[in-house]
Amino acid sequence: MTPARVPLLLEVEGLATTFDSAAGSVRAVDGVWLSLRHRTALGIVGESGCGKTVLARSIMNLLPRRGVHREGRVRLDGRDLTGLSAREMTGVWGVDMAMVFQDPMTSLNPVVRIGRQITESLRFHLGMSKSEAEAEALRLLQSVRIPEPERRLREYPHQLSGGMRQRVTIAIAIACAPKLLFADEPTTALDVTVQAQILDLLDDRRRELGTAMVLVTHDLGVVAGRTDEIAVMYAGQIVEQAPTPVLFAEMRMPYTEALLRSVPRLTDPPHARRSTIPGRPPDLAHPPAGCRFAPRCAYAQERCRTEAPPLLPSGIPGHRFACWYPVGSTEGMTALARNVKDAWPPALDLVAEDRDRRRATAPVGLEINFEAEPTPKGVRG
Amino acid sequence: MAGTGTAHLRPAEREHVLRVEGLTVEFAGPERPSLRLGRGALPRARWRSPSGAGRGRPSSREGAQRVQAVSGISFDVCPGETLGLVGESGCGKSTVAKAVMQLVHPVSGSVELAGVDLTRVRGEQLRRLRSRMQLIFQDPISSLNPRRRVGEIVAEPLEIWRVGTPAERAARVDEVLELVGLDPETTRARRPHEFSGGQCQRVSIARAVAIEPSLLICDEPVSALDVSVQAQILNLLEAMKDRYGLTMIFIAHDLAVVRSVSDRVAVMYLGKLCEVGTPERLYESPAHPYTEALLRSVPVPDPSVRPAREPLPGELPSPLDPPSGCRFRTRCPRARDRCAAEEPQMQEVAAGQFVACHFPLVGAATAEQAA
Repeated sequence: MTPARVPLLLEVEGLATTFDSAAGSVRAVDGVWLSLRHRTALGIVGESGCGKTVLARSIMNLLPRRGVHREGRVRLDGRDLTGLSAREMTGVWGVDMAMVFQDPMTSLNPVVRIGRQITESLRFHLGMSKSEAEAEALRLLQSVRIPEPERRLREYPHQLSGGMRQRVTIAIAIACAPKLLFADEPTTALDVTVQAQILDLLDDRRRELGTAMVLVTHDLGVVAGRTDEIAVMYAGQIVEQAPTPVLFAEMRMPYTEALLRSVPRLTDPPHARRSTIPGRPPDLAHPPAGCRFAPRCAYAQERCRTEAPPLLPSGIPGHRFACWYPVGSTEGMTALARNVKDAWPPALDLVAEDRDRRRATAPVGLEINFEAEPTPKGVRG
Repeated sequence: MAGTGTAHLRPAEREHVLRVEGLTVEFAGPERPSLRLGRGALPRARWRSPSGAGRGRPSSREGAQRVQAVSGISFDVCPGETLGLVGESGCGKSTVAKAVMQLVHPVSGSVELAGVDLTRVRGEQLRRLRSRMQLIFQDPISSLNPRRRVGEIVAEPLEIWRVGTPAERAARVDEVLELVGLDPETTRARRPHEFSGGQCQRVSIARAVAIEPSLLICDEPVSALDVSVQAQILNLLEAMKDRYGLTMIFIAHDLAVVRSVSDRVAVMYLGKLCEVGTPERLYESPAHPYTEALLRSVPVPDPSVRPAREPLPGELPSPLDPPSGCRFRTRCPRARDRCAAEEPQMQEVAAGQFVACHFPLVGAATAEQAA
């Protein structure tokens, strides 16, 4: 997929993470292969419980050791991180890889002043003196556009608003100019206005420092304008991956389509029924046989329930997906039409535009009105 | 009195479920810095007790500053209507919800529920009136008692109000659980921690609709949920509204979420209303620069649309020291001298669209400014 000459920053090969639990072992990440070039931004998208966060933490080796089994390889800039101990990882965290977490209140230490939380890694990793580190911390706070940075350095996290706290965590994450920055739902706890500010800020600082970024989110709207590539995750596996414009224009996996359709839009007509993804992600202690999305999928056929589709290239460079009846293909359209006839609820949900939920009134023929969806390819007919 | 006006209210003769006029809520703010124990001491926000003990003005303890969380807001909600109330964190949206329920007591203003001014009743009468309003909160997990079973949680309002016989109540619990899409057989005896956030929100909705309230206030009901679950909950709320003819106030910080459920949208900024209008008007041609900025902040799931750069710079000013004149002027690209000197009043700029702005993006004043 990637030209061999371009050095890869991150290579993840067959990564699998299993947790021991009372309900049996839970395979939260199940065989993920990923690669990321320098200075690019990758979005990882999926619902809660799809393994996005566990994937990010497995790559960073941030999970507890007890009761967690990790398989596969992680290479960063050619260096194999697989067998490193926690002690060896401290030389990687912050310097090579850093993370911005979802909740800025819990990721900052409430009893330590902002200034010391920033200077800590500068002094530890870069060996700066106290005064050097303080000057650098001030510069970092300015770079994340915090007003009155001198005063903020002496304050505690609770004295800052949520948006300001997230700026501080970004300042901490970029303090040592890491090669790779993970942002795990960095704006989910914030207002939309602040979300836009924080995403802009992450993008600006990352470009300036030449850092690659993995942006983890449940909202396709957030990654649309801010990533080079997107990987869609479902039940611990990558189900579709493509360069961002390709994903939106040529999405094949019904799960990706369903995620996109559920994003609220400013163009939604009033009181229209919203498209949803019925049900919820499977219990990963007992994942369904076959395709894991099949129980919720509008296109699912018998084959999907028995045979898991492999993640295969689509023919478009960089695009791969795992589906037997892809969106927009003849097979997919026939499958959907058959499911509508058989009154398969997810298929009816997909075609039901009327607010009345009663399934009996659903159209028997295939009349799909995709309205303003940007990806109506194939399904027009 | 400086206020944002009442031009947007429908005639008082018209039937309405809720009519709020000049609602002002104050809290005792942090003590003055000179009285703080030390640098960085926690600001002590004092909430007056909802029992009515602290009615009237907030305690004017020496040194305590007063924060006006809501400053003279007026709005009305007609039967079967949903009012979307939108604004950033800290603008006072949730305080409005609490003040409507009389969980915090307004300093001034009236809250009329079906013709009765709630600010003038107390005790048993208030308690009875309150039961006609129900609240749904943002965090579905913390708003359910973790030690109680779902069946008990949903039955509680019915038991408090002794609706029907125990058998009827049990049947009612099953009915509402079924309605919100939970299987009564398997869910009744389970506790909140066994459910996902979306399912807990379904339980909250079941509890709220069990006694068929006349007003349902949803305070950021989907902000903590995934987009796919958000859509499920919004559909459910719409279905409940259809079934029970519910009147709703839907609070959110995201205009995109409010769009599909609202009949009227009110945009709030720092304790005041900026703009009120039908979704069709307000989303097509916002009149207030703040509404426009909120609209531009919503991420568009289309990579060919470049995200707007800094749709709204800066942060919400402190309500301890709100800007003079128009409260939005410190972040407004259209601000002029007049905005600092004079507070804008609500005016109708188009049919069904009202705005409190000296230089709105829609209407006559825009032409005037251009001339």
